[in-house]
Amino acid sequence: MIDHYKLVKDCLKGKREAQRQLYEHFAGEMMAVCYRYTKSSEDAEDVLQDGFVKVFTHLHQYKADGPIGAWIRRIMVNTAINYLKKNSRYQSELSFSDPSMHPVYFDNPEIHMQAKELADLIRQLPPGFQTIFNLHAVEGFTHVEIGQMMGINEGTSRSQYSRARALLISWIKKNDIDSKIESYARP
Amino acid sequence: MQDHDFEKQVHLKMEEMKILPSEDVWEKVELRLHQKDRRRWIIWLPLLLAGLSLTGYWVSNKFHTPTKKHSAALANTPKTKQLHNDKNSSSIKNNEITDVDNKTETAIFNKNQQAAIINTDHKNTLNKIIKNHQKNTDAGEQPDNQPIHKKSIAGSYPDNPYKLWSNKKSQHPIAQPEILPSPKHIVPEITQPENKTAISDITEQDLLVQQQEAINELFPIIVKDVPIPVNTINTSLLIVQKDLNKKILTKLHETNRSWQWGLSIQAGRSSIASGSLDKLFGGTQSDFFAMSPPSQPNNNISPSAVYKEPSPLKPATGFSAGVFVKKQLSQKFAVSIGLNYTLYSTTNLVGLKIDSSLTLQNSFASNRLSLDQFYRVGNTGRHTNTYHFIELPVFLQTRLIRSRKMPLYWDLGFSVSKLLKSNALSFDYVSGVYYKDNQQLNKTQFNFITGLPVRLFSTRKLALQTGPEFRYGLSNVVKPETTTGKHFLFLGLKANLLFGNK
Repeated sequence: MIDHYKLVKDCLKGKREAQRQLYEHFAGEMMAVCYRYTKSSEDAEDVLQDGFVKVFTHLHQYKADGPIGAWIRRIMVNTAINYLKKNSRYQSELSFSDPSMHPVYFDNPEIHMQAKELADLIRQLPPGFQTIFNLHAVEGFTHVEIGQMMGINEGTSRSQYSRARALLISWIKKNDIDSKIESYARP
Repeated sequence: MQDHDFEKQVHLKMEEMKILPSEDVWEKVELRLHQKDRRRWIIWLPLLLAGLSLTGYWVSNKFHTPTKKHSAALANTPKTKQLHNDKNSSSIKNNEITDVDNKTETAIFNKNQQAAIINTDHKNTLNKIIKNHQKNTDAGEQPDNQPIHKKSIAGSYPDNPYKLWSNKKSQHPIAQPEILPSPKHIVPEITQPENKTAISDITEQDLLVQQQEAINELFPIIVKDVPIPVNTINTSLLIVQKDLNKKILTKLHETNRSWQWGLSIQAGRSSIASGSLDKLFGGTQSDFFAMSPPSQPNNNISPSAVYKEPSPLKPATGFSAGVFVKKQLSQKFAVSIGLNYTLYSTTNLVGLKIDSSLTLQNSFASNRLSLDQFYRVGNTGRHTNTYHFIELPVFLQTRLIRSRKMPLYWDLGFSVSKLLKSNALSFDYVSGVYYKDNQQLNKTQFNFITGLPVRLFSTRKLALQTGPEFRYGLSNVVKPETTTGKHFLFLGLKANLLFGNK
């Protein structure tokens, strides 16, 4: 069991070994976060790199009022959003239309697929949908908070999220059907 | 409610997901952290050095007690003498003037027997001045204006940086077969042919000849006694040739560098001193940063003739910052030219500032100088005399100690500087006041500069050198018509940041 408090203290002293330990402990989890926000592994690693540099540079601001993992995750999410905003490949697709009337879906299908498969489906969403879906469904931010982070109003965030959710559910269902067909087709 | 089931499932699935990044992500993170640390050090180190030198100056200044013997403000030496006495019917006896109304006032004489009527309120102070003046019979020192002899730097051609194989070695007799090391690990030294003086003169033919000689040297036994496969010889030849080319290119690159540019900053103490350079180096610490007392009164002045003395000049902050370009002449020598802003300053005690008009009888500019404001003699406040220059230094840098980690250099150079602005005070013995008159100042200064920088670190893109620097003004601070023997001095720390270092 790693003593996170001692590890953070050593990192603040500039000990490279402690920094490496902290990185290795959280790298897997944070790479998954970055993976969900980007469209490629290279972009995900770029975000991970930027994120950890920020973590070590601003570690003195960590007040130990919550788990260090949550603090690092928050930095990683913000880094990912900034990356998307600055990267020309994502910029044009990060546009959010005005809120409009949208159908409300009450579908709650059971998800049978593996986590990685689900993550790959989420990554196939358009960047705007992908980001808002990640922020609300996975990270748990409210639409008010998402509006502040993305510079949009709450209504737009809700609308975009509903569309993203509907699209994702349709893909999940299709994937389930395809899986069943495959299983039936096997001898 | 039902909406949240889907979100909950997504959340749980994503929480358990972990993906391992590639190995080089941590290496890149580590490199960026290292670069951040180094960048911080580069910015703060020159500031730290400047801060340390200023702190050192402040601490030493706190314990420095100036003596009245070394009175120091720029003093106006009156050239003509007019007896200034409004009271025609008064008589002068023992410095006391008794006028027709039998009021007694005290007269103060300067070294040329000019007298000024002084308010009796200041009589006690004046008495002290009179006593001190009578004691200082050896006050004043004729400035020694002997020229400073420059030692010429031995400009011998630098040692040839590389040696190529000479024919002599290949004729060395071979006693018996021996196990030769693998050709890969042998990098032959390259010596210069006798008739060549620079690497640029070496032709391709020379390289081929030397390559062959190198191979003969490497494989004398093998070629003679043991037949070896052709491809082994070819591979070895290739390795040797590659090593030779690499060494030649490296040496070429090191010698024929283009101009590099950098930033320089110096901080320390500046002062005004008199005397020749020899006397300065032989003097004590207090003499080094002090000005000489005023010159001897003329012989025809009575011993009792006295005048107000200016307060001693104390050293103060000296600072210089600018850019420079540097060119490596050889492995040992480099020349650099810069453009700096330089500030010298001194301080002295002054009395009250008077914002009223005063006409000085003996000014440098003309026989009369009208002032709008002046300072009386006193201890009311401390005035900082600042001199702002734009400077063009030229240096020759010699490497004294060749060290991989921290080589030591010797900087030797001269600079010419132009005075931009000054608020320095001059002193008038007649009126006993301090006043500002920039016309007395020598606007163009020639300076001698020397230093011993050490290179603290060097990367592909930049290098940092720092060390002590000493400057001596070869020109007089003021024009010779005013007074002579006053030179700027500076001693401090210098930091040079060089860019494009390869």
